[in-house]
Amino acid sequence: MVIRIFSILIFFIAVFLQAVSAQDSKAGLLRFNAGLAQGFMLTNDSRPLFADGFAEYFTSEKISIKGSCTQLVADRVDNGLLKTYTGISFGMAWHAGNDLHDFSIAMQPGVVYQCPGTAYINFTPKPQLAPSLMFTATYSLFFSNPFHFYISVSENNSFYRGAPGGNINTSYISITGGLGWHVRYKK
Amino acid sequence: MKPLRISLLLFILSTAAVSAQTDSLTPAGQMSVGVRSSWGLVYEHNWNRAAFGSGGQFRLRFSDRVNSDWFIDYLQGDLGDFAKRTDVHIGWSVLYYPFQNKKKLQPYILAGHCFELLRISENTNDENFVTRKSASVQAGAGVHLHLTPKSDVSFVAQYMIHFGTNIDVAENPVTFSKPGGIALQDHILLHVSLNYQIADLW
Repeated sequence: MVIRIFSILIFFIAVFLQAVSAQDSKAGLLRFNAGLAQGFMLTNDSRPLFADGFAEYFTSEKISIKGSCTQLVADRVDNGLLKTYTGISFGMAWHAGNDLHDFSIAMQPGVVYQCPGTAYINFTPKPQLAPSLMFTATYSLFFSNPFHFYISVSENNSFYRGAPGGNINTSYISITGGLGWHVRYKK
Repeated sequence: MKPLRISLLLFILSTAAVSAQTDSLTPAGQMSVGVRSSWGLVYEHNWNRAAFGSGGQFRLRFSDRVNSDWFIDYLQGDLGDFAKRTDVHIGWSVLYYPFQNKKKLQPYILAGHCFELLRISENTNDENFVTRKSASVQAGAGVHLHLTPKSDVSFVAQYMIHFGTNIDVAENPVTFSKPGGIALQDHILLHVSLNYQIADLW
């Protein structure tokens, strides 16, 4: 029994390594990721949950062009700060690592369409557009040809202007991860 | 037979043209697209605070030493705690490289023109607002950090002067008025841009 399990394990490791060795340079790689992100507001006791995703194209081994989108789904705290939040951002990422492990940092300016749920006397906040800036650190494991695992930490900075006391800081840090899909356009 | 020869000649010529483009040895003709994040350090009177914005740009290089940025920025900022401002900048700058090098860091100076659409509105009452269109000039300095031969991060600090109608703001109650005349309003604009070369046009 032990030998059988051991053989199966060796078989899977061999297949895994074969898949890994099949990876080439990341230049020309296009990847898509979608998942759920747990957010933590920087200046408010609120923990929003987002559906998020990004598309990334590796123009070279070190550089990729990246576009991301974020949609508020819920908040884990009663009376969370955000009532509406939809964001898009575009930017560039710098990569380090090898064919199997990829570490990247990205900077992405963008815009968010947002509205706080804060209650005021004689004033109801309305959704509005605001500039944003997102910084992201991502680790990816390219374990096979169409799929990879990833984990990503982001800080997304934005402000809701026009509230009675001035601005409301709607910046947050979020953590996301899961399974991604990629396709190669260059050999 | 003759049309075949002409077709063959055209094909050879087109191939030669393509290879000439890809083998371009000078940076002239390079075209890049990019995104940028901006901070406007607007401190007029005693109520303005820093504005923050996002934007995009494309860059067209005229020669080895001369480049150009064509940009649009969308910025928002506070006027104390009683009003907010929204600025849209559309403009262009010419970049000059004083040092001809191919190093990782490439400093430059820049100057150009910009058009601005400004909207100031009262907090809690967006119907109480004033708008202004103005033209401006800007000049400053920056540096490219070349990450790869085709991509760079650029850091720029520039001084921008707007020529437009004067706007007076009163706080209690919040009122906006245009007393007439042209006002000069200046600020420092900082931005970081991420650029990627998409074409080499000549």
